[in-house]
Amino acid sequence: MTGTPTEKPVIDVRELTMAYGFDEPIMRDLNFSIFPKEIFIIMGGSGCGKSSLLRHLIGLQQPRSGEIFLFGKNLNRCTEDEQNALRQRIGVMYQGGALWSSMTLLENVMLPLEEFSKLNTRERREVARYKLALVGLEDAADKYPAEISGGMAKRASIARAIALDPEILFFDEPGAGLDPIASKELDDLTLNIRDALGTTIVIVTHELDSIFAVGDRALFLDSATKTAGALGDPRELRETAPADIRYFLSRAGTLPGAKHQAPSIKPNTGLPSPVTVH
Amino acid sequence: MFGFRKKSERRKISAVPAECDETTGTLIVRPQGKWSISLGLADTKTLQKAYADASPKTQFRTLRFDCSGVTEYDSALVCYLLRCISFCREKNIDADLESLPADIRRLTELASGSATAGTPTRGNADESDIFYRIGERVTQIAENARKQLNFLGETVAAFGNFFRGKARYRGRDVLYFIQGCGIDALPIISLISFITGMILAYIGAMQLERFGAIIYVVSLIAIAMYREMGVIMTSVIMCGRTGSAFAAQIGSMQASEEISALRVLGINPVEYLVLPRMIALTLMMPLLTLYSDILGLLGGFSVVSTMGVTPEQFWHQTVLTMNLEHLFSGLIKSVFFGWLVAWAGCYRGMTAGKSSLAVGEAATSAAVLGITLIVIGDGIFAVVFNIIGF
Repeated sequence: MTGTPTEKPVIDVRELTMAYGFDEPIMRDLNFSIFPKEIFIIMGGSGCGKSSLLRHLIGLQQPRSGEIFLFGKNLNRCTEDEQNALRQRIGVMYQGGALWSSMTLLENVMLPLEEFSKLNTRERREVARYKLALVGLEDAADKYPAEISGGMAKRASIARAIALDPEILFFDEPGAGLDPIASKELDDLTLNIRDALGTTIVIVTHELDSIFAVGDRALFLDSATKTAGALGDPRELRETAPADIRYFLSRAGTLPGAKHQAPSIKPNTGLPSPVTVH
Repeated sequence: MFGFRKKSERRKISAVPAECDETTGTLIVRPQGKWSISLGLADTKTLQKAYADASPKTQFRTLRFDCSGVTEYDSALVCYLLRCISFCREKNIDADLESLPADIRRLTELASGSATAGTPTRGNADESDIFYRIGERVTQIAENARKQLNFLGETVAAFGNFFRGKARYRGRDVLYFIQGCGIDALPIISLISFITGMILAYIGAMQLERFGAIIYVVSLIAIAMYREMGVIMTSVIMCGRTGSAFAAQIGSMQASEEISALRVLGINPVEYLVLPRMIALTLMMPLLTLYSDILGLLGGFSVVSTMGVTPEQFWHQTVLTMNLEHLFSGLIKSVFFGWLVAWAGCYRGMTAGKSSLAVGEAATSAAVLGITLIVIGDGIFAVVFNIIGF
């Protein structure tokens, strides 16, 4: 299902350099394109700038230099109205869900519809219920964000993100704080959304299981060199990428043939021993 | 008796024997016995002494550890070893970790490895340098000023959109906040205003009673309440009650990325979150002030009535003293103060950091900023009203 590079990319990033204030850049010279209907993974170690890249892609942060094209429009060179129009074509699921806490799940999903559609209240409620049903939350529609679990909050956040049938979905660390089963279910949901709605999905994550389960292509951000380390099919990267990226990718215990073990240390020192991933 | 040991009973860790082999240039330390954090940490004085006592010609190469005498150890020994190692680094001597037993060595290596890696990654500025700190502070002040101006601009633009009917917010929110900052505030405002009126009456009576001019206490209460006390008391209450609540509400939305979620949807958070709050408080403040004025008069009456002023006299004297200027000078101020209090609360909320600690700080600083703005504003109004003779 990988998008063919002959198609026009929905996101085009050229020579992007990101930095906070006057600090040293956190990432420089990023070049990549994301094509329609692909699931694109942005991966890398903790604190390497994955989430910052996501904030740049959705226009919440300005790049130090370089250009980001969303649907062929330069995100940082268009007027606020144009930017808002672009934003209605994307949906974002935040790490913690970021549901509006003063509203029920149903109202959360209804708000984008209220602001950007011509539906009346009853129609909006119907559409919102349908979106909640898609993510398996129709029974929790009248609950408040404080009353639901972390996994449900992420699902509800996805329901809100797909409220306006966006062309691109951004997921910020979808697996963070979830148990392996809930994480697996979220991966399945991700694939279902892509296959059923034809949405391009950009995922920021470091969960290897998810990367291999859903990723068509992956961009590896290397915090050591502060630039893109590798780009391609994650299954191929496992064989062809530079050594340290292969190492990062091989830590997934579920992979056939990847029997890497952390050096064992006998826990006789009172220190927590490094957790071995099985 | 309760498990506490007296100070005199507490054993001190004994000095660590250290010696120097001058022919090979080797320093040797021999930790002994039981090492425990509860006994305190050992210093490297003996090692330094061995180093200093060696003949000047000695070429120091390595420091060896002889831990054969250690019977029991915990972090205290490792801390001592780390001190020795940092001493070695200073003097350019090799610390021979191989001479340590394996388990102690691993701990020491882990800790000393991270100690060397701890070089600052951001710039080389010395943070204790006075110029560095001045510069840091100045850029901070400039940054804050920039943020305030920026937010002021955004709110003014949002109000511009509001008056042109283009602002995107929910009318329901305005009603909700009107209830929250208007009706729900009545009990506390009643209490404070009534007591303020009583206090004014007592203060006025203290002097005027001597001249037998009790009736003028009524004038004093009326003018003071309507011109100053009503609006100031109401503003301060709203600042602590509503301004800081606004800061906490918006700040916690900031912390959980709810504001980013609005922004990405193309909804301007200043219009959606700030505008309804500011409209509600700006509308409610004059009404609350008027209410406070009346309650203050009642409070004053409750005091002067015990001094022989009848209700008819009170009413007559109040009507005689009051005019529209007194009334409006208070009400005009209340509109501005309502705007300022709401602005301060929303500003602190919107610029809050992304942690739960930052939410608390935002609420506190919103109250401080709000009260400061009210007092400064009141000063400016006093001067202006004096000039135009209002």
